[in-house]
Amino acid sequence: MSEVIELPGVTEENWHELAWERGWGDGLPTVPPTPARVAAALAALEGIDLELGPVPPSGLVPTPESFAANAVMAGCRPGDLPVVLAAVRALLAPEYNLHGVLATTHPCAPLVVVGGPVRAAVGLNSGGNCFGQGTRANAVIGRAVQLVTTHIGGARPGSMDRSTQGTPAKYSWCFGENEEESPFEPFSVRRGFAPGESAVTVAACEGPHNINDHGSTTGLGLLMTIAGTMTAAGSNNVYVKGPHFLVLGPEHAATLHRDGWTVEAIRDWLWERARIPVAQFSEENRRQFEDWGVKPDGDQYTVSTGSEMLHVLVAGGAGKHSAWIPSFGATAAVSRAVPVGR
Amino acid sequence: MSSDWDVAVVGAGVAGLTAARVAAQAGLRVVAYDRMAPGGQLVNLTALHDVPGPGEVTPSAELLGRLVAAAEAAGVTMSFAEVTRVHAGASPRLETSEGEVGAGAVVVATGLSAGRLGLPGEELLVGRGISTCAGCDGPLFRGRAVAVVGDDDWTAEEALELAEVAAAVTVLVPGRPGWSAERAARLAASGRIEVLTGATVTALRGEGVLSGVVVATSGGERELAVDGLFPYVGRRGPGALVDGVATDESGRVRTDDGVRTAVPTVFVAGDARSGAPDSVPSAEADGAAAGAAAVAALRPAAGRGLRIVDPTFGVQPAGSAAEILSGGTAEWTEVALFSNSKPNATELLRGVGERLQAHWELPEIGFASKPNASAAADKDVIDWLSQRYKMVLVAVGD
Amino acid sequence: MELEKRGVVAPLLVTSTFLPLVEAQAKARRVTPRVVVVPHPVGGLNEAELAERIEAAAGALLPLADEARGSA
Repeated sequence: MSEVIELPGVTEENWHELAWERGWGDGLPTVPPTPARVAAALAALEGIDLELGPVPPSGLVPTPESFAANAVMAGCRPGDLPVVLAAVRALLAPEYNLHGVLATTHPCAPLVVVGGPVRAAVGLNSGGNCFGQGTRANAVIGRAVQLVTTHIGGARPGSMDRSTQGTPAKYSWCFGENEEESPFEPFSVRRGFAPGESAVTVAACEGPHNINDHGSTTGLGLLMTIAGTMTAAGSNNVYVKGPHFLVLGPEHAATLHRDGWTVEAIRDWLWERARIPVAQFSEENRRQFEDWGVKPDGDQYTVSTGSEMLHVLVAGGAGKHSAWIPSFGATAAVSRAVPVGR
Repeated sequence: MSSDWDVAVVGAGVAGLTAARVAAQAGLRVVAYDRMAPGGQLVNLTALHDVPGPGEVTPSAELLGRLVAAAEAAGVTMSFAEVTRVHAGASPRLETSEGEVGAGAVVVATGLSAGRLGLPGEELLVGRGISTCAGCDGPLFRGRAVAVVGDDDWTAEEALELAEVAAAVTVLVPGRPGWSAERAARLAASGRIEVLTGATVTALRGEGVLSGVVVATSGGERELAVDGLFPYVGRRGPGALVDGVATDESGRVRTDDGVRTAVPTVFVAGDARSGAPDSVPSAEADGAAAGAAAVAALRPAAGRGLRIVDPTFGVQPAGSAAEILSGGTAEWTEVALFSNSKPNATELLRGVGERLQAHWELPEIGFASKPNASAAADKDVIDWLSQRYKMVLVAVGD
Repeated sequence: MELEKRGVVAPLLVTSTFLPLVEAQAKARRVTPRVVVVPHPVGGLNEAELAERIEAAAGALLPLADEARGSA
């Protein structure tokens, strides 16, 4: 098929009906990717290498235009495209395991965590309600990433996307780190990027699981609640292992920091303490784990394989909440710099 | 169910490929189905007479190559799924070997089935003396006697082609000949062709392999000893494939006005259409008309539609073929030849195979073939070749 | 082409007039065929003409086969 197509009988007014009929989009209205809109979006990427690898499962390589068309459909403004591009590049890294991610029954979505000055430039929310609705950049960047895999990769629900229940995170799962209110070194810097450099980190993750603790007044107290939340017998991280994320609300982060907890110390403590007694698993399930080569450490199962698999960062606004984000397991946290054009 | 395609073309011969190209050039999403390779009747013909103009001859493969390349360039997707049923209606649906598919419009361009006499034992002798492809199977009858049954230009052309290899060709015309004067003259000029009019084949002779036929004429019945029989009568249109459209007594689809059927979203082009002349130019004209009619049916009078960049567009990665190489567990000493059984294809393969055998000092070279060029390769043969051999030299086109 | 998809090295012997068709089919099946092209036609040739075709085809095939074997 050719890249620019004419849709007989279609106007801006009835576009959504047609797009839906063709299986395009995610169910919400999309913006028609007219050549003019696509050209305007691509102008924001001038001077940037737009080469992308094949997108599973179709194995097709997006052209700059078809990549941009998906961003336009998602509602991106031209300035959002460098962030979407970085996220798609990261998603296509072999260790992310996009093919497996798209075909699994597990409810995972491409989590996109953004750090650095680009957050302010595109208006990305890293404060209150940053996982939720109401901010354009969060909504459209995560959505654009999902549309690229749906449209070019062909991973449509029901055919290739075999998720049992899915997750609302599949509509869009993107937020910025609240670097400004974090007492720790920015996550992107710990991922190897220079301070002041913008970067994204992606991983195939579930939606967030809330950690409510209004009562604890010490870091240790908070960690006990966090560990209690992370020790879920049904999470993939117990037996598939892989990365998982602890996103601290700024108030919880401040308490931990005040009590001398560093990111390293938090990870180490949770690795040792967030363990699940074998007795919480049925015998059948334990046999299944055994068959898969997953053994308990003594009389407890660990969450993933080591402290380094837990990624700790800060996001959100006022309040005594944090979140744990389990992953698909057979994926990796992959980071890429947000490219800067001319 | 949403429609998967704007236009689905069933059959990728001259008419189908042309219809698909015309619709795709108008920006529609078009799939062309052919359970074998694209080509239709062209696959079975060696040369086309009176194409591009009267008195001129074009190799059929050349025309076919052009038609396929043009359709591909216009964005037509080729599918090798077999269409087993077409449900006509406001939103036509197709049952295929790969599942059900919806389309905004359907162009039926299946052509006709192979010729058959409708006699007892006939199916058992197909491929054992009975053939409908002179270009494919003619050389099997080198120096032997064959009969051709039919009354049209196609019959005449096949008889003329057979006369180049066979010792004697008897053309059995059920009524009066319907071929052109030019072909009548060429038939008369051949020393090896005899035409019998008012002749009906009433029985087939042969145990396992054809040895002769019984022919009834006004002068009574007589035995005719032949090793080959090429029937071009009893060909049927796609009536049984398509629900909800009217057909004539030979199963060809009736039209109200050119290529339009009574169903506004279903069109028919080429030999599948009742009353269509059996020629390449008319099949092309039908295809173009059906493609344009499908576009008109889907595009309201409002005029041009919205132009967008296709969000599903992608290209094949460079160098993807190299990755395929790594499969196969056989050793490099395991080499075979696979012939399409076209004239001289096996000889050519064997000649080239001997050269490779000497070059690599191979103890032996395997051999397989498919029974005739127009059939798809047997899955079992492909399975066997792919498990047993590291390299298979394939004859695909002449 | 089906053979190549299954990991068998399967050079295709085609005549020049068939080349566009083979290429188009390969594109439809998303494979890059190894093609040995010989002048059209093959059918109807006498022995001497056929020998010429064999010579031409072998000249193209042998290096292609060596390369396939060498890179495997």
